[in-house]
Amino acid sequence: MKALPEALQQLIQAFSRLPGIGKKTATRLAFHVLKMDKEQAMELARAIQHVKTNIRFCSICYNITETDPCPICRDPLRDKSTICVVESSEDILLIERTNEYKGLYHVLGGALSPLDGIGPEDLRIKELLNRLTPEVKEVILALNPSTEGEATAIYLARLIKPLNIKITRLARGVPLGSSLEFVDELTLSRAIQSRDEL
Amino acid sequence: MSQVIKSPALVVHTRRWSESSKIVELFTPHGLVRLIAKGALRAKSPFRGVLEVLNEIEAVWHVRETRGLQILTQATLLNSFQDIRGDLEKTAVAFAMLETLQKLLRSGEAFPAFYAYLVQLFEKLNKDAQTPPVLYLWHFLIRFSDELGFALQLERCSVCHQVPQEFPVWFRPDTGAVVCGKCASPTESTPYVELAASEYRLLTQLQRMEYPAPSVPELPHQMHRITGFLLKHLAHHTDIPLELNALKWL
Ligand SMILES: [Zn+2]
Ligand SMILES: [Zn+2]
Repeated sequence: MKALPEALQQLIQAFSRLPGIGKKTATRLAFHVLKMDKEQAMELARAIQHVKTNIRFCSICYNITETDPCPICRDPLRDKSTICVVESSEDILLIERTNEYKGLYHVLGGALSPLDGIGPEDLRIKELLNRLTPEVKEVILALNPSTEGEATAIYLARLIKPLNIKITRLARGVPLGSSLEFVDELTLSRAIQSRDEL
Repeated sequence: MSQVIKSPALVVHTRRWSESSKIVELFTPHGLVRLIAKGALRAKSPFRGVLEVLNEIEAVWHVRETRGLQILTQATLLNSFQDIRGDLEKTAVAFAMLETLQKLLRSGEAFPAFYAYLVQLFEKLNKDAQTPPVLYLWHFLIRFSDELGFALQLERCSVCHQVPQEFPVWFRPDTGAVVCGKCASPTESTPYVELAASEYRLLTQLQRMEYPAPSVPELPHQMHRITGFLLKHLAHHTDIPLELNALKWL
């Protein structure tokens, strides 16, 4: 490794911190960047910088956004009586793609996972409860179909039940295991349509 | 040289590894095992829905000494304990047990009898609609202390060897022994934990039972005190501080 210039070593190290990228792939990527034409490489650098300086969390739903509140929270046509609770912003993207849902969202920032040290205080649960004004008639729990997602759903259901708000979750068409990301659009859209009351 | 192992297992923990694979941590009769399940997150993977925490599965893996992480080649679902999953208390208690195993066991130690006990315990917890779930956790913690070689000696006072008649009794986490109300005075500056009559009776009865049952006497008011006391005993002997995250849900 000593043979490589310091700057290139730094880039390799930066790439190898990305998920699913080992030393070998990181080295290949770094050499690829080196071979790119300058404008393309600078565009990549600027895009990374832009994401980190301009993207923040919506102060209402905690979706990632360039404007606060986010476009969904600001949209007067969205149904303010329904909040769909998801684990991450990526899940919003998936649900929006189905064109099936017209309400608002709330991003928890994960699911309860005791063995990873993630407890209720690490998720945006208090923030969710603060949003449950009388205007809200239904909360959809669209958490991942995993043990942790299910546990989070029953934990939230217990907190929301006393508020007399209808609680639903995605229909069983969503197969157990892993995350929403691997559920195809059609299945997801059917699961939203035929959601079950909890 | 590679060896194939086929074994029942409880899924203790999973985490994402690369784009579509998972690393799974299993509790098996062979002890704790960490395996890589390639492609487990893909929509068409045969591992889908099988490698979920709390599931009992039958796992097949190949052991090759030269590899750090062994590879899971097959997994079939044996029991998903649906009625544990549907209940917050039961789920928290089951998670607390898995958390204890993960924190205290080193990989490589085999526990065939304890594995059989734990699967039975999960099956009973799954079906049991009467017994407070926390009793299952206490039963597990008492048995686990026993398994690791520092059983609680509750039945008789370690000084006068009589069955305690006067309460409270005093428990020493370092020896696992109790001293009855007659033989110990609360002014002594020893690391004793005080046990009220109801707490003492509950623990001795649980220790005698093969599995928890609804016939256990009424629950003491301060349930967290008993959990804390059992965890302190385990922590004292293993030198590993035990704060179970799953209990924060309750
Ligand atoms: Zn928003
Ligand atoms: Zn005595």
